[in-house]
Formats: sequence, structure tokens, C-alpha cells
Amino acid sequence: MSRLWVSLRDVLLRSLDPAEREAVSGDFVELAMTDRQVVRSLVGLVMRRQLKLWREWSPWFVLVAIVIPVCPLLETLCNQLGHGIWPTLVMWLHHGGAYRTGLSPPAFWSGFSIRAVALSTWSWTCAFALGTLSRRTIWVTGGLFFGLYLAFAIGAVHPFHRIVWYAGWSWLPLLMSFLFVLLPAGCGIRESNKPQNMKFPGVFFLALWTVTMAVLALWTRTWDQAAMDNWSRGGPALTLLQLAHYADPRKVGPIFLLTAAVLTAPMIYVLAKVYLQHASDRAVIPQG
Amino acid sequence: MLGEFEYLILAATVRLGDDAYGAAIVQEIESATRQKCSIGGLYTTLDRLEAKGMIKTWMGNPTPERGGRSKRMVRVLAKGIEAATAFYEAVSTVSRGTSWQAGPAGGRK
Repeated sequence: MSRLWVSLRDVLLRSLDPAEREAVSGDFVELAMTDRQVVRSLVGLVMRRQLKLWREWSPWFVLVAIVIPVCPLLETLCNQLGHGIWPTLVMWLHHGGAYRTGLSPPAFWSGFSIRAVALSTWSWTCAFALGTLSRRTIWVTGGLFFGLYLAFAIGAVHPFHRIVWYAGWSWLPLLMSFLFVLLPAGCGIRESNKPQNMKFPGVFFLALWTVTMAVLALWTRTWDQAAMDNWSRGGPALTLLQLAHYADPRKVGPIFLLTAAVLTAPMIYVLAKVYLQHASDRAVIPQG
Repeated sequence: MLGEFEYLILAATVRLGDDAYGAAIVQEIESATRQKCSIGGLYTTLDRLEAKGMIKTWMGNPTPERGGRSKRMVRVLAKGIEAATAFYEAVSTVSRGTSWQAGPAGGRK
């Protein structure tokens, strides 16, 4: 039980700014307060501080620009990823055969890997942007991010969810959510706490990686259509080289373009913010 | 007009002089009122008083009895003294001729 109070105390203390955290911790030591008393005192202080922070625009911006649009999009993409791999897995595990997708196995698994890496990248970068922009409201905005995502993931409103649950494969979407969304998002929030990660060249390469993965993920969206066209003409499964020739990037639908833009935008915003900071630091001419 | 808790903090800070900081103010208020004083309430009120220009706070030196942590030192400014004086005078004026002994008028015990 005392470990719980200690953990709660540490979590609450972390939400205060460093100077206040030090002064308050020192006061608690000097007043010889128990962990339970400390937690009770801190709850009031943290709530008052949070209320003050939420009077500013930035936490609301994070909520409206990241949490609300990003969570359902990540959940939809994760569902689509599961939807793509599920028949292949069932066919392989239960019937020992390959599920014909119109793509050669290397092409199919390359497409799956690219989409999985893109989804993990978006989860990581969106959570990184959320952590960077939230600062001391991270416990609320981060909690809402994970809570909203889980609400969508467990909602079981998607037809794929229903099929999977009835078939006894309920672990698959949850496992995929954990691997490709929740785990990377947790790491992204953790990394956003480290000031050394907010340096210009590093953030630039991170944004470049995000854009690259977004473009590749957009391209893989056209593979299914190319495979379908090829199958209707009676052609064999398409290889990666053939896809480079047949898959037309112009056939990416506007909805997925918008999805990719919404998921990439938070990292671009962080890049712009870090670049402006970098430029203003360089503009300061040393006196002497 | 100051609030009651704001007045208590200003008065305790003036009494403590150069040794006024979070824990010391809490102890001073608790010994005077014989009631618990919350650190959370204290720090929020200190912020409010500082925003009103009645006090000044700064981080002091770390001390061993606090586990090497710094104190948030407090000093009352002229505006704070003025407000506390006005509050004290108002309480004194309104209390003049008032008896708090239990009686037919229904005073407090």
C-alpha cells in the first residue's frame, strides 16, 4: 500500500514545474509528512495548477489538433492492417496454405511491413508532438489520447472486430494495437521529455522519415487495386518490380491523402517550431 | 480586500522575517490557528498574492534538513503591508464593542 502512495506522490510531483517540485518536496521532508498526507496535499495543488494551465490555448490546441483527429485515424489504420493480415494468417494456421491476394508473398509482406512501420511512425511522432506541446498537461492530454484510442479499439463497432471476436481471434486487433500504436506512442511521449531530442537536425530527420513513410504507405494503398486489375486480366501474382510499374500513385483516394496529412501534420508543426527556435538562437549575435 | 487565509499568510511572513518560506509559514499558521494548513492551498495563495504584487518569492539555498532541496522564500512588499493593514483595521473596527461571550443575543462560545 505504501508503494502505491509513493508512486502516486511521484506522479503528482512530476506534473509540477521543477522549481516548485523542489520547494514542495523540501517542505514535505521538513514537515515530516507521511506519503499519504503528501498525496492529499498534492492533489489539491496539482488540480489548481492544471486548471490554471487549461486556461491557456495550448492544451486545447493539442486536444483539437492531435488527440481528437489522430486517435480514430490510428485505430482505423490499425484495423485495416489487421484486416489485411487476418485471412492470410487464418489460411496459413488452419489450412496450411497461402491466401491469394493477387500479390506475390514478398510483395504482400513488404506492403504489410511498410504500412506497419508507417503506423508505428505516426503513432510515435503524434505522441512525441503531443508530449512536446502539452508539457505539464501531459498527464491529461496523454491520458485522453490513450483513453480515446482504447475506447475506439475496444468499441467493437467495426465489422472486422465482430468477425474476429466471434472467431476467437480477439487477441489479434488488441495485439496489433499494442505493437503498432500504444507501444510506439508510449515511447514517443517518453522521448518528448528529453530536451536533447528537440534539437534541429534530429527533428528534421524525424520529420523526413515521417514524410517518407507516409509517401510509401500512400503508394502501398494502390497495390491492392493494381493486383485486382491484374487478377481480372488473368495475370499471375504481382511482384515488387511489377508493382513499381503497375501501381499508379495517382489512384490514392482523397480520404487516405487527408488521413496521411492529418497524421503527418503534428511532426511538421514540431519541425517548424524547432526550426524557428533554432533560427532565433542563431540570430543572437554574441556581444563583445 | 484580502481573504482570511491571505491575511494569515502575510502576517506569518512578516513575523518570520528573513526565514519566511513554505514549511515555516505552514508551521506558523498551524500554531496560531491550531488548524491544518495545506501546502497546496499555501502555494496557490502565494501565487495569487505575488500576481497582485503583494509579495515577492524566490528560490533560496538548499539545506540538509530538507534533503538538499531549495526553499521558496517569501517577502511581503509595500502593497501587501498596505492590504494587510487595511484588513486588520477593518476587523478591529467591526469588532469594536462586540462581545463574543454567550448571551441572549446569541454570541459564540
